Amino acid sequence: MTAESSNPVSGSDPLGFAPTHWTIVLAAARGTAESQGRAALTELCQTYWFPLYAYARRRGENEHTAEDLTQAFFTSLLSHDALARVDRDKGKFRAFLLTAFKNFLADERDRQQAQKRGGQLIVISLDGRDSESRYQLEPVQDLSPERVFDRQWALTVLDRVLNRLQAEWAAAGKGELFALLQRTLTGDQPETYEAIARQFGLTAGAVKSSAHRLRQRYRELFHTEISQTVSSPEAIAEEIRYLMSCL
Amino acid sequence: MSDTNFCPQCGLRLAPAAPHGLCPGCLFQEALQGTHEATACWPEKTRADHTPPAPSELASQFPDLEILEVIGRGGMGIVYKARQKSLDRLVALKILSPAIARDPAFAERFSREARVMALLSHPHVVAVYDFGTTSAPDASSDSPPLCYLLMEYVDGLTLRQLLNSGQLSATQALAIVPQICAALQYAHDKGIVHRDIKPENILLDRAGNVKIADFGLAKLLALDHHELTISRTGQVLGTLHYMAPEQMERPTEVDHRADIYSLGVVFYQMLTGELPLGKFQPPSQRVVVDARLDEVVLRALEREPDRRYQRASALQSQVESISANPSTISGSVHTTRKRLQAWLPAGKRRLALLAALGILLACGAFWTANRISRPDSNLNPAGLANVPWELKRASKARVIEALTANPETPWTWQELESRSLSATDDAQIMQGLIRWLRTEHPRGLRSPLSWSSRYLNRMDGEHRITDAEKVEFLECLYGDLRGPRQARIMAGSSWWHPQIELKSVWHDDLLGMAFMNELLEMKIDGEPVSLQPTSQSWKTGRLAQPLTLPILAPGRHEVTLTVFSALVPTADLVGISDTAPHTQWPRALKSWQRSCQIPLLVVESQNRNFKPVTKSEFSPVGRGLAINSIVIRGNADLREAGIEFTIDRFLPVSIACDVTLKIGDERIPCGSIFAILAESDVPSVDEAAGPQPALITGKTILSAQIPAGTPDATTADLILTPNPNLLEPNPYADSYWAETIVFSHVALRRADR
Repeated sequence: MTAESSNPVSGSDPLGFAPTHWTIVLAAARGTAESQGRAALTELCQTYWFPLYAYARRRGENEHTAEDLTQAFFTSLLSHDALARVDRDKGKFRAFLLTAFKNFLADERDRQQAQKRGGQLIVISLDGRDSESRYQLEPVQDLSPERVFDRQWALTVLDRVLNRLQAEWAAAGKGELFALLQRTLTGDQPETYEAIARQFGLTAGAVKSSAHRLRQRYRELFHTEISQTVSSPEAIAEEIRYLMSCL
Repeated sequence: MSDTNFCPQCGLRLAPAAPHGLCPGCLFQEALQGTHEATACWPEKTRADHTPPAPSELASQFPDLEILEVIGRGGMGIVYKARQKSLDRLVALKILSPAIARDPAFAERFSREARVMALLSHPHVVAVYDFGTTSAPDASSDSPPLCYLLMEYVDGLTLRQLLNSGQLSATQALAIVPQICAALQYAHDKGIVHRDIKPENILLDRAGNVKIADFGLAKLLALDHHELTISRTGQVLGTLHYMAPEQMERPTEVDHRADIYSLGVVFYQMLTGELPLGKFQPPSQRVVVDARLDEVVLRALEREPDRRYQRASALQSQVESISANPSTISGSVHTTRKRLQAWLPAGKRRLALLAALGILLACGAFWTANRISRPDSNLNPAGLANVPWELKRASKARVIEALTANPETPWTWQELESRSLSATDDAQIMQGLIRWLRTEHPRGLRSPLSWSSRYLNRMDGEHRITDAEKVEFLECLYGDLRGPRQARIMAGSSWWHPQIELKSVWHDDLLGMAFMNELLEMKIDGEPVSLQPTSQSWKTGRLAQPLTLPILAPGRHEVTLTVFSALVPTADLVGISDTAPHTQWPRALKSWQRSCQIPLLVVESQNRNFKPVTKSEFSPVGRGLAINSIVIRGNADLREAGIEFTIDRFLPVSIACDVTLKIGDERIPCGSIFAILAESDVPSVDEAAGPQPALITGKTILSAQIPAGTPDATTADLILTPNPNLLEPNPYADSYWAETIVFSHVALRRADR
């Protein structure tokens, strides 16, 4: 069964599983459930704005212009005709966003100071003060703007997944344990288990099984996150491999 | 710290921005290890563990229940509506994940916590009747045991649904919040913290009673069953917005005050429609509400638990006292003024403001009286529509009256469903709705109908509505053709998207009719402009065309648009292509051709004729222009000043200034700022909301070196000298603030303090 063969907007079907953000957008581009599509697109843009900012900066824009351009891009993307621009072919959200941004930058140059007046004003929260410091932390000198974009995308995915994971553990009252265990996500560390076990008065085995659960959950969240931006389940692994190659 | 700069696993150097200080490469490696599981995370694929049992499958496990339907599903499980046969009552059955019960440790904690939940008995808490773990009915069956909770069935809506409908008034919010407080206080007194207060967990029954669901469930489920905490569509993200800061940062210290914070978020959202994210404004700055509510909301939202309300009951009494003692309208004037600025061209604002103030003052008594949520049998029909418990007691005639005076409230429609209606009642409702549209929305309703549509569709399904009534109603609903009152472009611009607003109703499927539109013709000064027919779709009622305009001389022009519209039965549209021209549309119940004219102003691209403005009422100071901070960095030899302005879009006039910092007698040029008010007199399509102001701003953060020898000072003056040369030619801006602005004695902050 593919994503396409079942009803992609199955929110009203209580027994069907919920569609991903990107499939909702794709469905909306085909002419159903426009408002849901726009909401899903907004949600995605809210998440993945930083890679665009980094791309614009790498293309030589200064921080203010990069921020303005990113903001203006989202304003135009999320205005009325946004969904009409979504390619009806399946594809990845990442590719769509970068292509749309490139087109936008090209148009922006053409129209220079002329300002488009849209109907409603949509503001994506860019968390401005953070953006430049975050950008400065990144070694970008030897990367092409496209590479910077993909790399930032990969980091955004990681950041989001880890934050969610942290929030879940924190919500369960295990924030401290998470802080210590998270480093085991990058590999098994027997000595860490013992140190944590001593600190929390647990057995090393119990800590190890917590670490195992943490890793399992991490993978699930990661795949769920990726699934929001691709159009079929088969594409998840491929997207992970691609992003990994961008680091 | 040196050991954290290299990944212990792969030995590579870590970038400073590595998420959580972890090696991105190894994190991806870990994620990739599970890719055989990856497809399982795809929402539309089902895994055995995630497959919710169908109602029929549950029947064998719950012999006393008649499982009726699925009524909800979220991060925590799936909820069924069921009838408990022995007691003949409706109940809600919540099934936690089938996989959950396999863990014996969880099962034990589950029964302990559920026992506590079942102890709660309060009118505003969803009661837990029973809980447990089923055993597989027979050995041959493959079905795993299930953890379940049997709960009170609440027939109504979640607060989330109400928020999404956009129909929640401040009055309703003030009626809802005290009930939440009462429930929280009750649970807190028993030592139970909810931990997951959010609109999804706040239910409203048909009588308008608030019921809070899932007390203590968050704690129970948060981690032990890692599969369930996050819904597959990103619900945790929503939940995070309602979480108190300490829930994320110091989870061991979480107490009942976390619920008070979450309630603060919900309250803010009920009043403003938005979440209090980042540096948010108090509610009264965003919408017209009693300014005293700001204090209540902001106190609930204090970062430090010690600074919040310490008890839910304290918040409750504050809200109740505000409801009971409506203040003067002073709190809302500020916002009103801002809105007027946004609506009107600068020159007309003052007159309109005076007029509006007069009207507001005259209406003051009515306005304040309407803000009280106390039951009042003398409510006018429109007010009655907002008070569910009053509606319950009202006669059918009063309910119909309330409904036709204020149709977009959920309560009236719900109430109506419990009454038996005659054909005369139906006709009265239909005529009332038509009358309401004609008087309140003479040019059509902009937003889709929400509460009424379900009822209307049912009337239609039961053939209680005639074709003539349908046509009359839909014509009023969709209104007339409207475009922007004026469009502007710069001479030489080749792009322009005129927007003509036509209702898009295909998706609503209201009364089984589609409202279809096709742009037939567009003329500029009587000359036809070529249209691209393929870019039109009758499915989107909005007509926007990418156009290549002829070269137009600066000055006034006129655009004429001609549109063909039709009301067509939806059933007849099967197989009709989206882009089919109207000649291929099925036979319409009614069709008509309409035109509208839009003045188009073409502005000289070298236009620098900005008018200087100096009238004090347009002074930008305090009306959108402010200094955020002046920060001094560096040491005595090399100092730098960083000046940060805030410029918001309610600025009364464009500004363009050179900025000078004056420390003692030293004058230090710091560069310039500009903010072009792109609003001018271009109204947006949405006339009700007025033109949306927009700003084109230059730098708002300036920095300058402070020459050696400049005395150390704690304050400085900032001088803004008007410089119209900074204003880029622009079709929208036509005036600028022409007087020098001096901010005197501005505090200088040292960066190291």
